[in-house]
Amino acid sequence: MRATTAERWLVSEMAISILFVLVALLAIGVFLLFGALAEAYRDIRQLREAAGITDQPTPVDLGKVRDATPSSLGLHPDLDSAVHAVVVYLESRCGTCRTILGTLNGGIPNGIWLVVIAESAAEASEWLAEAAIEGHSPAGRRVMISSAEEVDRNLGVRLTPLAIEIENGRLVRARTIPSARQFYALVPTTFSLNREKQGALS
Amino acid sequence: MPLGADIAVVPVAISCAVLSWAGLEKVRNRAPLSAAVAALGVPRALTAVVAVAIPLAELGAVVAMVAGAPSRLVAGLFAGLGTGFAMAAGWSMLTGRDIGCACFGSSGRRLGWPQLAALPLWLLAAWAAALMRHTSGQERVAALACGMAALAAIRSVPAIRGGIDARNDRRAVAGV
Repeated sequence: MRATTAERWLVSEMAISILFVLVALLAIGVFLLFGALAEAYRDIRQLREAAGITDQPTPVDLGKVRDATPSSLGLHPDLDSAVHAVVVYLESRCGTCRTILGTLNGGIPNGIWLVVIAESAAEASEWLAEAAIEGHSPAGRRVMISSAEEVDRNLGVRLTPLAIEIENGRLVRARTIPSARQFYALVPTTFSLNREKQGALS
Repeated sequence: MPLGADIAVVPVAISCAVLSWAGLEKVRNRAPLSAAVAALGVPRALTAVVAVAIPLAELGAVVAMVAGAPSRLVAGLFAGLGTGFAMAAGWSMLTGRDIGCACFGSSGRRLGWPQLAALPLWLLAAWAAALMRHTSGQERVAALACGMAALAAIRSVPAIRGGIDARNDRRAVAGV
């Protein structure tokens, strides 16, 4: 009887050791797989960087128009009193612009104003209608329509999609928007508790 | 049982973790180590042999530790590997060669002062391995399993981050 108990104890000890060995071997396999996966993602990143499709906004130099008032560039006069707002330039020919507009679904986030670059007001309205943005709706009040020539003349650059940040009624910085994700990252998070100022923000 | 024999487990465990990581990364991708060995001036015929021998020695030290091999063997492997790394770094600095480290696989790090500074730590680990208290086979295997699971968890972090970045860029291009 004693011999049997000792044998059982020995077998259970061996089984536990074998189990630990199996866990260790499995962990080694997982370690190697994660290493290969990390290297594959690094390779993909290098390819993305070479192809210029990394999801990182690029700063754009505003040049002469830095610190200018929005209305002097043909933007809505309400922006001259905005504490913090972002003006986004979109053009129907740009794929990322279409993606961004497609995600709006009839609403523009607070603090964001859109400038739609189109050849005519009718073309812009048609494009906005696809995104369910009506001209007389609250969201439509924050949409401006401009021609490519006007944008060239006012800004000196024509990059789309482009975001220009306005702080205290002045143009402070600009950057490209490579994705819809980066567009929503632009939404200002600072809001005034003052209702009148809140109106200026949005 | 003297306290020093218990504390000696710590540097030995850390050394085993470092050698496991380094050895497995070199086994997975031998190219960076082969390039580093060739850049050190090792004859071309021996480059492949050295590039295989180094990860084998690193993993061999861990296996010897877990298998309960004589402590002098483990201590000798620790000291030998540390001395070898320091000599390679010293040689690259003396000859003014700019050589990639390949310590933990592919990286932008270069051979130099870090490997020289690590030599005393390797010698300390060797001394600790000789001094360490006796442990049962099951304890050592359990430590290996837990250690490898922890290393795999740490290794998963850059892979998961890389995946998130790739997904964000895919959304940037495809929109979904």
